[in-house]
Amino acid sequence: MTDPGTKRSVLMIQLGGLYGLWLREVKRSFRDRGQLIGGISRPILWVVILGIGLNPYFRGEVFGKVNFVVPFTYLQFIFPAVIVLNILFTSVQSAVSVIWDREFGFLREVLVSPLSRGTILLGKVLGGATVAVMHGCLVLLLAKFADVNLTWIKVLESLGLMAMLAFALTSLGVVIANHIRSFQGFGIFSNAVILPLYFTSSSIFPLDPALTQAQTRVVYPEWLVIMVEWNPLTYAIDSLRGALIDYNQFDPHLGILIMGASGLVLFALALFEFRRV
Amino acid sequence: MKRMYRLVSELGWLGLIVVLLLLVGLVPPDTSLLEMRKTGALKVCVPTSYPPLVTGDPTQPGIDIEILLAISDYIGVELLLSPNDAIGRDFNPLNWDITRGNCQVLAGGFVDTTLTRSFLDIGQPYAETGWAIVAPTPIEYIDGLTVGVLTNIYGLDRIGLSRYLREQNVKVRIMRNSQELVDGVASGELDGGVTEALLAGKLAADKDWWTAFLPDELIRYNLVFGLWKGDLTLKRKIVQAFRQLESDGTLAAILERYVQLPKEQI
Amino acid sequence: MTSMLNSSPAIRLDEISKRYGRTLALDKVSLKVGEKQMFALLGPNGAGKTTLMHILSTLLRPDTGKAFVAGIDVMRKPLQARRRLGIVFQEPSLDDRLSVHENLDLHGLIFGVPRTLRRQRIEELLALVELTDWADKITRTLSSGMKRRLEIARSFIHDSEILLLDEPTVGLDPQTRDRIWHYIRRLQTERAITVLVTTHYIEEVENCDQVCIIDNGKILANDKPEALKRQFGQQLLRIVPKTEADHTEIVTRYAKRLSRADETEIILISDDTFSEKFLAENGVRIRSLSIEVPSLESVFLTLTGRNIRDKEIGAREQTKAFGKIGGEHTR
Repeated sequence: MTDPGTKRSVLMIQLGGLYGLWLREVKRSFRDRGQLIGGISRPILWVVILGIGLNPYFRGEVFGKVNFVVPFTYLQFIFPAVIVLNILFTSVQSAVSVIWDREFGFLREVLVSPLSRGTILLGKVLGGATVAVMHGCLVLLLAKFADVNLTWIKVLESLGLMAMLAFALTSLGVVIANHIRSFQGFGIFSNAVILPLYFTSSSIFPLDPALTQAQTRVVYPEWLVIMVEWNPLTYAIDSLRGALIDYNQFDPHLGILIMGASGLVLFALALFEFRRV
Repeated sequence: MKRMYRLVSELGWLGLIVVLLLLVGLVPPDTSLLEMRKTGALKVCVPTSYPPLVTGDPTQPGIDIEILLAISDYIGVELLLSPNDAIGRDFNPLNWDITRGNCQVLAGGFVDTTLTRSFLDIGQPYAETGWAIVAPTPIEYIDGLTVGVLTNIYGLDRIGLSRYLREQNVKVRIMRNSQELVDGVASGELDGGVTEALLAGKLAADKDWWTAFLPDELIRYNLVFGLWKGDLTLKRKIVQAFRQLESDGTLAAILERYVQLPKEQI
Repeated sequence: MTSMLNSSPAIRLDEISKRYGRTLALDKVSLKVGEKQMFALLGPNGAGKTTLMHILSTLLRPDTGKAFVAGIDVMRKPLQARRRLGIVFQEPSLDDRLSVHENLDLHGLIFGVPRTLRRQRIEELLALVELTDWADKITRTLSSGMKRRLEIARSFIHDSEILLLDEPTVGLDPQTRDRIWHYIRRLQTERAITVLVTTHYIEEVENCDQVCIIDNGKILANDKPEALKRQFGQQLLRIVPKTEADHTEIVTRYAKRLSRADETEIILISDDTFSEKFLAENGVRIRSLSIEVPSLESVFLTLTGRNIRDKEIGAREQTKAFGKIGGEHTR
């Protein structure tokens, strides 16, 4: 179906617009100094400082006694979690820009264009996810430091998982942003929900798979174990950990399933709400 | 054109960030290498005897000892061995009485498995091994035989082995050391001896017996050195030394002198 | 380019009504804007102008009535309608972090303008609004007048035929206002486009082809400015009396014609015959006298009984108010 006015098919227009919106998100991220600084300070703080700091406590030998821990060093363990941390923060921040666009007018420019609501949303989410993956890749630069061996296959696998996670988290951010009127509200949300979600996702401390269910609950209180097991982020981090250091606490396919399904559901929800505007 | 300039400057910032992170990654994460250099010696704990890895014979000290000597040479420090009776014999490392103080590296028969990794960090693999059987005359089927089993290497899957032997209706007698095994097979009490492949190869070569790998269902393992987790700087140095040994053929020469791996498989 | 008969209007509104809660923002509004016309919608704040613009730009659905842009029903075929429209909103809708050029390029991408055409048009339009030197500067660094010019330029990247301007000069100083109008007029003559502009600045609409006065959601008048002035306009007599006694005398005698009076001045509603008579009868009592020809200001006064300026508020308050009612999420 072509429009006689511009001699371009509808599909081409949508794709062109999608590219434009995606490019806008990427360009904006390059100019956001604050976000870039956060993107490198986080891996430095978490991988380098925290990693070195906690390493001695994860040794196989403490005070002359051999100690059984998970089958790799703490640096290796926390490495995938820091990637997810970067992706998490960046995805949430791109959702804040949804509020920004709405309150300060750019959204209107897009709403009176020939782009469908779906294209507009997709451009926003893909752009935000791309920026999040880029920030996740910044952490990958510290792989050698953390003694994580990167092969091309591992990198590609990780990128795929990171992309899925970023897409789901950005869509989630948009859904939340649709319901929040002010930036303050978003700050509250981010501190009250995002960070707790991150800390209870087996990111900083593992639920040891070598132990039985009962033993795990002896090591950690039951409510914490339940939180970790019900937290969808746990499985996302687990898949990434499986790809990077070959260590899975849960079924590796579970993470892919959860990220994929939640990405689709959240995007559909965001689109549904967006259409009603 | 100003547009080009902006693009270049933005990519420039990105490049700067990348370089910054890479530089930060070069920061040493721990003091293990430094500590070693201070004492001037590489401390290694090994079992008292596990041929062909550790023989106790000064003229032919064993694969692991020779590799360790080459490594400490490369790094430029002395090699300080601490022979330890408990390693290998006792299945529980808690009873070995090893600390970071008396050894920085563990050698003499460690394989890369989850069990080993649960308390050690792993170096470069240098040889492959598995389960093998040794007997005076070739054996085709292991069904229904009586064998002596010697499992002195930490990390090998004993449970898998015993399951396999049970399935094959093999009568199992646990041996405490290689002498017992050799005596048992020589006297005819045992139809054969099942143990780790390198040892089996050595025994077979000594006694002019036959040896073969047990079937594929039982996996193969990589022999490695063990290090304490978190001693990343030391590990990097040792890996570097290993790579050097590999590339200039020293490693291959050492292995050739000692290793007589079983060539067949039942 | 479009298959339109010469007689069909560029914009047509048929009995448009829109209610917000208890307020009736638009009450059965009907009007027609002819092709290539410069059409002004004049009214105080809250008259319903912005609501009307939002309906025309397909952002809002009216409760009843139909709206047509270039013959296209905006409710049935919004995407097609949007392609014909260039819209400049009251609140800026630029991306502050992108450069001037990038903003225009983005617009081109969004509206499906092919690359070479895009580049060409960006150059043209930047030259037209005299922003060529600023092409690679970040938008945030531009003054509000320049941003407005940029938005006007942007609305033509996709070669629109109809320009909707919602209060384009609000918040700008008089000099900048003049320049903005200069660009609008230039664009109109060079590209033969239709312009629908809403404003509450009366002086801006004097040169428009057609002026429509709207208040409280209803259309009060719709005609050429001259015709409006003739029909509703009032000639005013500005009198500066000699003494206080004279002042009181005039005020009491012509109380029925009194428009406004303060210590120094008296303003009487007049016409040609009265002006002559007054001068003859009261010449000695006055120090100076001037005759004001009918202005649109007085047209508005006649139609609504108050001055248009009574309800003027600043641009920031406008934005706040707009944001308070939910912005574009107003349902």
